[in-house]
Amino acid sequence: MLYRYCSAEGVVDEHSNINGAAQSIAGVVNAGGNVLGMMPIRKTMSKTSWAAPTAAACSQAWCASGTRGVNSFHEAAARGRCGVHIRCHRRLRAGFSKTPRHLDRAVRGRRQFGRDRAYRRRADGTALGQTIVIENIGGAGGSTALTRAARAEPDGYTIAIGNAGTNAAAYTIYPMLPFKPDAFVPIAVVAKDIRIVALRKDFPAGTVREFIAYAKSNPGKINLGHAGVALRIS
Amino acid sequence: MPASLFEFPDLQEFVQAAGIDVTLVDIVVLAPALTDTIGGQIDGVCDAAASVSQSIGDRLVKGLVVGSTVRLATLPDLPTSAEAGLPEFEAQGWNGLFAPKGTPPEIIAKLNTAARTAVESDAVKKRFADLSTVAPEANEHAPEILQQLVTRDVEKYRKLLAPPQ
Repeated sequence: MLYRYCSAEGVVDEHSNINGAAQSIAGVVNAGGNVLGMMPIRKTMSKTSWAAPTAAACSQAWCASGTRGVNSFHEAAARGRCGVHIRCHRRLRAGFSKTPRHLDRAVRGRRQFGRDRAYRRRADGTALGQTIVIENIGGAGGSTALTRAARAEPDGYTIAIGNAGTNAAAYTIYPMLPFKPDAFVPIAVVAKDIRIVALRKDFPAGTVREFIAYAKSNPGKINLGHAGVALRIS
Repeated sequence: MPASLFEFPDLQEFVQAAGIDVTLVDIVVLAPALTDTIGGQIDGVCDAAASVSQSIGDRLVKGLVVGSTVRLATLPDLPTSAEAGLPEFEAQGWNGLFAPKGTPPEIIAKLNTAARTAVESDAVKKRFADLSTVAPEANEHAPEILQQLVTRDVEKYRKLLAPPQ
């Protein structure tokens, strides 16, 4: 073990373990000392719903979120609540052109790497009147993200996007997964997606029937790919 | 044999349904399976409609079959698995929102309402349609529906991915 995630003061703690790595491991080296493996660092993106809405709408949303009796957007802004942004917010402030200075927390959504487009729309946050910060956490086919979500405070400010991979198949594929199905409570199904099988355009078959006939007369010759993290199980 | 959290089980279903012997290729990062199919390095790909449909529309790859019971509005010429003679290939995935265990029920209810409001909005409907992604039906918004899918699929993949005895 060569590198571990730690705070600026050099303290190894869960707060600094941004990928949810086991034992905060960030990098390992082989016995010979000539091969170094490093944990990929998440990409973080954000989007704010506060740029456009009117002050009235903001005020409503603000009250709906039940935050300490602040009853107007202007009042909230005037109180200058920027000092209480949570960690991920501070980190991102440089990236916001219109940082919502009055928000004291952000709803965090986690999603598996590679399923961004269908979810990005969901990050507008207009239904909750909250800025939602999307943290894209890569690793282990989405299990790294779900691991972090499973360990988060159960206060409604951290939610995760899961699917049949991360929240069903993962339990068989990764027997050592640090969370079990009961680590989560379901909120809602938000999308159903459908799989398509497609072939290179010059493949000598155009229908399933032709494809099967070709595959049967050329056993083992066809290569089919799938997106996603792969591991060998046998 | 390679396995993936996401498309591999679906690809496996397709291969089993077709009763054919093919080589399944690990593609470790995001889009290369599709890219490699477009480039001709591999013969085919099994991936979400949201990823593949545009390339089929642009004729960069050839659509073979969609693993659902109804045709996609974005690709009306692509046959369903039953139409193509592979009714066993039903690869409809789901995406759900989860909260950590212990999140209070009233917060779950509020988030559920927000999710429902979002997926029923015109903006999301349009975006989903463009992506060939399907929104849950009116009777599929309850948290219990998601729990049923999890329970069902944990068992499904336990059987499908079990190492050979």
